[in-house]
Amino acid sequence: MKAAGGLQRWRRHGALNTAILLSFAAALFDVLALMDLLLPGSRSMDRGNPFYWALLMPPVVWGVAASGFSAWTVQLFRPVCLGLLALSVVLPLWLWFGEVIEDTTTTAAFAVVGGICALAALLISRQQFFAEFVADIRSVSQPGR
Amino acid sequence: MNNGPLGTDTHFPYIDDGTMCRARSPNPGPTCGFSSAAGSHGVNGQQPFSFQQCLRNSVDKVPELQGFGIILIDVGGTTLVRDPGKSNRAVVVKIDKHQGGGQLPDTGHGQEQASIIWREVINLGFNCGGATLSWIGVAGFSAATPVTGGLSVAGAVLAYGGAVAVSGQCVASGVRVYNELRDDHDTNERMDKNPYYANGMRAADVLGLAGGAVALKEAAAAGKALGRAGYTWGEASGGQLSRPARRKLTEELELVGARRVSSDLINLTLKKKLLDAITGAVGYVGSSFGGLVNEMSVWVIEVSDRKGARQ
Repeated sequence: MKAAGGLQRWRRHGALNTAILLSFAAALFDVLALMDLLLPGSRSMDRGNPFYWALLMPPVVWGVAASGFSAWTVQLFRPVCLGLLALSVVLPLWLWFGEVIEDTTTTAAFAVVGGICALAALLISRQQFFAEFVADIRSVSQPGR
Repeated sequence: MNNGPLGTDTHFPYIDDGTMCRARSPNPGPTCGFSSAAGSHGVNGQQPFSFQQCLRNSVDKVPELQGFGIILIDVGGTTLVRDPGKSNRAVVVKIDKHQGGGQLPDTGHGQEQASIIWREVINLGFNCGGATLSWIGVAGFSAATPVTGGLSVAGAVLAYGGAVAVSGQCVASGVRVYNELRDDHDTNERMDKNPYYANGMRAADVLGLAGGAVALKEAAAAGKALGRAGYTWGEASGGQLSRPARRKLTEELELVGARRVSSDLINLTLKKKLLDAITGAVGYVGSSFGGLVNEMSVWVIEVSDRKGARQ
């Protein structure tokens, strides 16, 4: 309980919560871009596609776990943000050179916004407080160490 | 067939966006014998042979369209009536059942329309019920601002974002029901095809599910904490608690700002968490009914490109 109580300050830590929300937004926008790419056409079309389920769940799981300070999200925070950033760079390039779909504007816009969010989250996570946060989470999840 | 727009459109798309491929027959009855297909078309996309044959004949009667593939989009689904072959072009015929004259007679229309209305009404109930509970929860949470009760700011934003998202879906459901009551199914179809609406609803699905999950997770944690402290929801949120009990619950619920908070504050926090749990549950049910699960089995599957056409 004492260790969990030690996380209280992080629950209202502005920069940390901003980073978490930005990572969620990055995941959301990247997924919207992917949906635009993989599920073209009307809303009624994508509902019949199992990809919709598959694409929808990662940001939900990530958002819920990260906002609850799950240990695995803390460990994977930077790699995930990097991955989202990479996806945001690759997607517009693929659209540009690959001529995958005709109307690329929305997809590219989502990817760019997602990339900006991922980059911002990554930059925030490079600050000193994040290392302290990681240490606190480790001490809670692995009290023996 | 109305060969005006079809015959002159050299870049014929395989995707029907609802505006480019609406080739409406001015008098389909005598040409294709549609009346014989009455009541049987639109079942899992299976069209009577005579109807498809007539469709082929109709298309081939237009010199510019001879040899083109034929894709039929009906309420029941999408059917590749004829492969485009080397022509790489297809005529997409979409049958809108609510456009009045010149359309297929449909004996099952009334029943289907009633089913659509009921689906929209039930969607409205779930979405707006979830939204109402969400906002009652938000009001309670605002009063308990000094204590977040274990929920991070990011989690709170997700929970509130979920409430906003579900509210948006509630408004959209209201509009859709209104449209259906006016027998204006086309407007709902246009909404579905609008990219802003589609992306907004996708984002709302994500936010609503995330918000509901955060609320449920938080409620589960609160329930666990109560269990550890030896209390039930009713005991902890209903009556006055002794000082030691309040202190213990303060610790278990991870309330901040005081060693021992007031009974009112504990009550408020617990009620809020319980409300969040209900909201989350309603949100999930609403989403599974109106959004993903239901639409996977109910909504029409259209064709997005030639390769995707289903036989």
